[in-house]
Amino acid sequence: MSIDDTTTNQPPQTVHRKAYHRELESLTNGILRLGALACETIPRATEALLSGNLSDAQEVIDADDIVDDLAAELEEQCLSIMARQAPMAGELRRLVTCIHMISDIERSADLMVNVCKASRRMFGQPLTPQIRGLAASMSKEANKLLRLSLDAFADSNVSLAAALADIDDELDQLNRDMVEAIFAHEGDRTIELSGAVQLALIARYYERVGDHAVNVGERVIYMVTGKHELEAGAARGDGDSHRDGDASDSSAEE
Amino acid sequence: MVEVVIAVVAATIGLAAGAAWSGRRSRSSAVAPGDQVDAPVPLESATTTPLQEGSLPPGDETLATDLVAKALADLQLGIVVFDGDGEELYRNHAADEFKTARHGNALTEAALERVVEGALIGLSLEESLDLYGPPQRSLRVQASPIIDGKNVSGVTAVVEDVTEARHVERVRSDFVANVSHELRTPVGAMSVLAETLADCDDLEVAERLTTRIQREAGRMSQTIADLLVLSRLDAGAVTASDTMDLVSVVAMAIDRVSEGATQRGIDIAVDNRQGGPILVDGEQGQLVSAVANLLDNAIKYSDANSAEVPEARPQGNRGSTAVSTIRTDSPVTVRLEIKGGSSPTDPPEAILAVADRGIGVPETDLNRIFERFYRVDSARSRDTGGTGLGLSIVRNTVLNHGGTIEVDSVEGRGSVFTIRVPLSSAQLQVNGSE
Repeated sequence: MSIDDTTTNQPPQTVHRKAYHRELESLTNGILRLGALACETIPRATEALLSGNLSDAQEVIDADDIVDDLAAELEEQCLSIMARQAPMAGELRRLVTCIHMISDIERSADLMVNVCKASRRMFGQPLTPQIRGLAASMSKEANKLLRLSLDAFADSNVSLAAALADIDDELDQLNRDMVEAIFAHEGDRTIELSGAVQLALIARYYERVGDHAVNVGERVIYMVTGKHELEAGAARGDGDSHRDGDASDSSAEE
Repeated sequence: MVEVVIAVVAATIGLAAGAAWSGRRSRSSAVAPGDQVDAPVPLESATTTPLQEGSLPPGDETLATDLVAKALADLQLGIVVFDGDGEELYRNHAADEFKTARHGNALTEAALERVVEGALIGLSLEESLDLYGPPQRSLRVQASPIIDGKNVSGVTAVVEDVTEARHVERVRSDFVANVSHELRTPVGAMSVLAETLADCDDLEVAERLTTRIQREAGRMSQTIADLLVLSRLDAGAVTASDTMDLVSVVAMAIDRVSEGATQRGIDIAVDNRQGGPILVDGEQGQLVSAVANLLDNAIKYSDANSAEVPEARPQGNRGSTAVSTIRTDSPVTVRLEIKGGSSPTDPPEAILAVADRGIGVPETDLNRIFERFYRVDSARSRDTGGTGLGLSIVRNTVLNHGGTIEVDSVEGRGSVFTIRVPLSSAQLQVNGSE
């Protein structure tokens, strides 16, 4: 009501701007909501994996439709704003960032669906305490990274965004530990080869969530500063995982 | 209990909303123009509350409205009131949090929007949210329409944190299931064994059966003995208060478990950082049992070879620091030290930590292992024996000594149980004289 009162006396552009800003705000809230949904899937998927509960796993898999729908809706919203409002400079960067973030977040949730599917495939295989502990730590670390990347976006916090790559090192290290543990366990026959393959994939899924979070951080830096300052870093996110991948993928994805 | 609170709140909201709207209606009759009273602004958050829109008649009604608004503001329940068009009129402090729209709050706000949308067309809706967080929370979001004649004139939405209630509920139902399981299993086994024995004429088989009956009876009597210990501890604080040295308590406890430790080839190290006696008040027998109980667990759930497993790398900032800070060559370590005392609000405490490099405790079970009869893995605990009451006894003992106990664990890396008890005044004198 109060908005109508104040806007009636103002030129039409201002009314227009107000509606536009409200649209941008609703988009931001939508993305934070999408991010929150994706963050939630991480501990959920991990619990399904560690408890070996198939119906929990199915629940996570089914719930991904909500994430996908919201992601599609938000993308539509971005494009519609771009088409109608012809944003410039910072606002254009913000919208482009949003579009990229939507896909990063949506992919993260998909990766957790992959964890659930993998845990379904290795149903009945006992996990050793060491593997369980590593999986739980990876999940916690991935969840933390994604949350922090959303914080960086919501607060336009460049220094936090830039720190994400360093924080991600912990997750990369856990991934290496996991691969090592899998080799050790497979060596002494405490897990079967098929289980080892699934586990290596699972470790990789968590690790990829971290990379997506780092990507979000880089987008946020671009959004705020307008510079691709960390171009080397942006490539690093993928490059690094490929390097790590050599250890895990050679055993896992073939 | 919870229902009562909600009923009261619902009534209060009704009153507040009613007062607000009736206040608006009755205003013209009660107050002469120009005779306006500045109604106190009840809340920072309530920017569009009708309470602020204009003045209210002086007297009891204003006071009551004001009080109700204040009461609502500080309520633990989140309350949001909307008008018939879905425009937000009021939001109390507890509900304010969800507006930040970050992480779990974003999802709560989304649920709130969904139920309010339903309420605007006259439906009473409820949604349960289980957020994994962190922090892990269970919320109930509920909205009901305020119907004025045929139209929906407003909506009240309530967000209730049911985390604690859910937890208590689960503990209670699990307890009943577990206790009947623990008691029924040995009884069932004994009756089957006795039945077989009655029809048995082979002496060798009969001997085997009686041994097993004895074992089951032993288990049962152990459970009953532990239950009696617990009920004694439940009775309250320690009466016999001696001053004793924790260092010797630990030595006695180690002595008690040494046989099992030697059998499994596990060495127990003591790391006394104080370097001298640590005096506490309490009942020595109880404390020795508690420490022995922790050590027994540490031995049972440790791998004899774990001492040979090299620590992969220095632990970074990986959340569970306590697990990594106490590392010696022994698979089981008892650390003793005195902490605090730097300020009057932080009295010095004796700290006794039992660390192992065993299988660890899954995170989901971590806050439940002190519950009676709670088992992380019932199959395994059957092998290792035990009644499922050990940690409850330890916790109650520590609480009776005015202390606290906490556990930190990473699966596959080990656990640390940390006991904190207040120092004896005798210790303070010792320290003072030095």
